[in-house]
Amino acid sequence: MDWILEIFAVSTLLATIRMALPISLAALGGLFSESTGVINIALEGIILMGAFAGTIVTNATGSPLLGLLMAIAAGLGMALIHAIASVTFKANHIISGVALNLFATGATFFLALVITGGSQISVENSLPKFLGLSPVIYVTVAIFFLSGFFLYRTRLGLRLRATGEHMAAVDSVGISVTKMRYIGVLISGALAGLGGGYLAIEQANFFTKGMSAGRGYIGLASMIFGKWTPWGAAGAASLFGFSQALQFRISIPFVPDEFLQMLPYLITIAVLVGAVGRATPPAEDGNHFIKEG
Amino acid sequence: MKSERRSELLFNVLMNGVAPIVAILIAFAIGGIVIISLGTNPLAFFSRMFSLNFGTLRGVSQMIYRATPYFFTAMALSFAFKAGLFNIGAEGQMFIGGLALAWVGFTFTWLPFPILFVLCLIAGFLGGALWGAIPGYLKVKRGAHEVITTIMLNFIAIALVQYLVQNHFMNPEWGIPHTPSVAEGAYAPSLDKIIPWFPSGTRANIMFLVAIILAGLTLVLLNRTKLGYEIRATGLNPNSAEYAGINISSRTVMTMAISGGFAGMATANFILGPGSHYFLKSEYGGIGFSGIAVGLLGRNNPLGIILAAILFGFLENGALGVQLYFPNVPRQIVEIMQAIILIVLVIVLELARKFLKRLQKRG
Repeated sequence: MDWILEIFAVSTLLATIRMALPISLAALGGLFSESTGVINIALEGIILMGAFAGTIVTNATGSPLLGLLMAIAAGLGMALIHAIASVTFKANHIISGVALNLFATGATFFLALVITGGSQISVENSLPKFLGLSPVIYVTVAIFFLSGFFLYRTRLGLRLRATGEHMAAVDSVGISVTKMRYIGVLISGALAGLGGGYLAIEQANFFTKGMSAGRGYIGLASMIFGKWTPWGAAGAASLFGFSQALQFRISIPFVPDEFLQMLPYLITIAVLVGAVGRATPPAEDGNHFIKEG
Repeated sequence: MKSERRSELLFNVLMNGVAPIVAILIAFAIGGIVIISLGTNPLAFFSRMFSLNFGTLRGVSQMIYRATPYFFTAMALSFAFKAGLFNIGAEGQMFIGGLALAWVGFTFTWLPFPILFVLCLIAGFLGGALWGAIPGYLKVKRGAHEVITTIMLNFIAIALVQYLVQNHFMNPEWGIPHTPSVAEGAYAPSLDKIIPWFPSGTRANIMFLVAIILAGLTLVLLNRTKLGYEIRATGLNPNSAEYAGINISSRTVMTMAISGGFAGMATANFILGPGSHYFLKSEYGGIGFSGIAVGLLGRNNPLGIILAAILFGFLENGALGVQLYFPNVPRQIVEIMQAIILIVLVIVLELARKFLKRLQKRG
């Protein structure tokens, strides 16, 4: 019965926080993007790019802080391409996201081979721990508080969310839909990029090909399960982080690991079909803004 | 009337001809710049790739082998598109169908060729169809958007297949998790057994011909049958389709099932064709997602998709061979190029659409 004790152990709690962190940042990123009506499934590729860029810069400069900043910059770069394709050129959001994910998978593997000759790169430095946890975790908690305030209490935040609900109305009062969408998508890239940087520099201490391993999609799942709210997303990400922590730490009798792997996706479908409460995405999700006349 | 026909021709040339070619050229240009930056002559690199693929019939045969699975996952995307549905679950449908067809192949071992071979294909189709029908059903009954449910079902399929192979089908002594081998009755004949002048000893097999036959059948289904008409009507305008008496719910589920069925047969090329003859999950990852690029590059037309699949086979087979000559350029260069093709294509298509609209306005 050791496994029951293990579930409630402090170390499992810490592991849960560590596993949940990149997922929650991706979820919040997805939320920012979708609050302006742009679907961003490129989160997966952005995490991967952030992890790679962060690793390279940390090793080149010896500074994990610069590495994390570079991860954010890489996320911004990927998000910029997504915004150009899906907002300016009105490409299908999903296709643009798929293309960026394919790109990130190929490009990070390619560059890892070119730069180091291998597909795995170890990270030499990480930030000093504070109370046993990476400072990025405290920063992320602060980001969630700020995001909750920003999205619901500030003028810009409300404008972002209005864009996701009714683009024509936003346009009619003289606010640029395009600008709002760029802001939403870019913030999402910065957040998911930070998640990727954390994953490689602070958590795994290495980069390896394909290391995002579905975290971007679990982030999307968290966003949906959290009903497109920051705190809901954080809660869902924690639950999914917990299920990941369990997979790595213990084997529960009669519950195969693969079932724990499926859990986030099964729950998301259950939420979408209304079996576990209803979740309503922003009304303009996936739409393009076409000005009449 | 005449100008209408002319503008339709212009539309076809721009959207189905110029746009894909521009996307491919830009991808080669960017790939070339990357290759230059590694100190290699891109012309030498690409011409070596070309001669590896087209220089000998053997090369052509290997290229065809690499191209075949992309046809199936691309058809999964494009068939659903005809009904206005976005199936990005080909990856999961491919895994479920692949395991189903392998299971039939190693379970009903007493059946002779071609009965077992055909049964395997049917099992692959049905496995993929089941996995594709689920998001169709959830959309129709509960309003769950198929993009999200197909993404989620991809990961559920991956975990499910891994669980089944490791816990039920695998001999623990094997090390790498894979199923038992399919029986000889399930083997897909290699192409040289059917086309006498084809070189022997490559892995190109009858699945390529199956793909071509399916492309033809799909064109007939979509353009010459009532079901095809109803599927297209649902895609063009669901409201008027419903008003015209088409049961769009049942058409949605059926389209997703057929779409998933295509993806379900994708791994037959590997499992039934010459080679290891068992289901090895790690060998197929990504073919479902790349199928999205192939389908769009083929402009959602079965014949276009065959060409696009051959281009992807060209890149993949070329990348594998060219490594011997240019070891300093990792073969993942073609993955970057494939992604660039996709992103440039969607942008060029939008630009072409805008250009045509402006032209129309001017009269």
